[in-house]
This record gives sequence, C-alpha cells and structure tokens, in this order.
Amino acid sequence: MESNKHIEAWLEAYFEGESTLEQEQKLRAYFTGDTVAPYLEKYIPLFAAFAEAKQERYTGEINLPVSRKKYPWLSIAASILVIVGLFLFFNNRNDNADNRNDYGTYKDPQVAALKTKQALFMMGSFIDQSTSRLNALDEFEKTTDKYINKQ
Amino acid sequence: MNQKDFLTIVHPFQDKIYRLARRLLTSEEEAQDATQEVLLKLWSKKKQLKKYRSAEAFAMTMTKNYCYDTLKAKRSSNVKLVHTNYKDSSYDTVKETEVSDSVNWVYKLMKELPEQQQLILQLRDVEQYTNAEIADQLEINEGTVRTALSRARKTIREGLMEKHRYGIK
Repeated sequence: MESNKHIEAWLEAYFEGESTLEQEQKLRAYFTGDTVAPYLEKYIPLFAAFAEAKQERYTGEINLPVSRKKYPWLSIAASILVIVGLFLFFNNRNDNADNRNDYGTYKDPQVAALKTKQALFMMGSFIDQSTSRLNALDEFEKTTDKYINKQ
Repeated sequence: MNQKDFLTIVHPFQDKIYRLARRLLTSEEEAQDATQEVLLKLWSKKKQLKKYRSAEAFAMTMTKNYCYDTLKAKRSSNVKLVHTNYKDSSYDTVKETEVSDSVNWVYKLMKELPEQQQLILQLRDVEQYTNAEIADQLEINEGTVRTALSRARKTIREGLMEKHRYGIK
C-alpha cells in the first residue's frame, strides 16, 4: 500500500491548500478510479463532484449583435452625393431666375413694331366683326320703343 | 475582428464561464443568461481584448463581477434563506450508497460556502487554474487564494464526514 501513503500525504496537503495541481490531478485520478481503499472511500464524492462539474457545457446560443456595415465610407459617400445633387439643383434654378426677363419676344424693334401692328389690326378686325353683330340688337329697340314711347 | 474570429477565441473558455456562473447562481437559466451577457460584453470590448493579459482571464474576471452584481441585486430584493440543518428526512431513513447522491451533497455543501470560496474552489478544483491565475482573475492576492482554498476544502470535508457518519448509523 505504498501508493496509499502518497495519497494520504497529498490529501493532507490538499486540505491545507498546499498541494500542487499535479498532485491534485493524481488525487482525482485515484478517487475516480476503481481501486480506492475502503477507509478513503468517504472522499470519493468530493472528487467525483469536481470531475462531474467539469462535464457541464454551455448549451445556449451566442447571440452577438450584427457587426457594423462592411463599408463605413459608403454612407459618407452617399451623403456627399446628396449634398452635391441638391447644390447643383438649386444652382440651376438660380440660372433660370437670371433669364426671367426673357419672354421669348422679338429682339429687333422694327420687327416687334410690325408684329405689334399686325396683332392690333387683327384685334381691330375682330372687334369690327363683333360690333356688326350687335346691329341686330337695334331690331329689339325698334319694337320695344313702340310701347315705351306710347306711355 | 469579425464574429467568427471572436467565437474562435471565446470557444475554449465559454464552458468555463458557464460553469463558474452555474456554481454561483441558482439556476441553469441564470447561468446561461450570465454566459450570454459576459460574452456580449466581451464582444463589445473586443478591440481592447488584445491589450489584456489574456482574453480568458479577462472573461473570468467579468464573469465573477457579473455574478456578484446579480447576487447583490437579488439579495436586496429577496430575503436570504439560511438553513444550517441539512437533516433531510431521506438521509436519516435511507442508507446512502449511491455516489451520485453524495455528489449532489457536495454541490450543496459548495453552495453554502462564502461566494469567494465557491469561486476559488471552482476555479482550482474544477477548472484547474493555478493559484496565480486565480488571483489574477479574481483580483485578489495569492495568499488569499490559498487560505480560502484550504478553508473551503476543509468545510466541505467536515460536511462530508458528517454525511458519512449518517451513512454508517
């Protein structure tokens, strides 16, 4: 029973917190084995518990937050693009504002005068046309005047 | 560092985190939550991870802190149930021969230890860290680790002897 002597000494050291990891390893091996001396059997549960405790595994899932975007500069590029876009858009509108006096009219005064005359003549002829139609109203006046004058 | 790299780093010790949390907290669910929480914190600090002594030691320290916080929060909301008498009726009547029952008894004894001793016993006797590593992880000095270890082991031995005597009776 030479080995039991060792075991006893290691146990002693174990409870004093003086044993080495190696000795503790041997103790665990001894007590979880089949050849434990009867008078040492009372220590079996202790080492069995440690051995068993080591079998526990984490079975849960590991949920990590989704990692950040692969291209962090993408959002910056996009925002620059939007700013440039808006800038150009408003710039364009300002250009249009400069052309506000351009009504698409004639540049040459003579042609302009001629065209104005033409337009006025056209309007005049329209008015003539419509006033000639108004002559028909005279007929009404003739008939109504008859009664009005009688009174 | 992407998620895959992170998981590769974490994989060797994620079970240790879980077991440590399991030892200190009451239920499996709580321990699972703790593990997830610690890993999440580790992930958020992944940039600093390389600066630390080792990711594993850092993780164990975080687990310890997390468990302490959880226990503290619980203690303030719950009344602690203290029982000093383990005379479960079954122990008196049935002669215990099953090792698994005795193993559970050891777990029960471990649970009754002060938190720090539970941690140290778990880290040393289950995870087989050296005292220096434990001191580093728990942010205490080595002498304290050794003393606490001895006390914890002796307390458990006493409990076992008591149980053993019941068995003989």
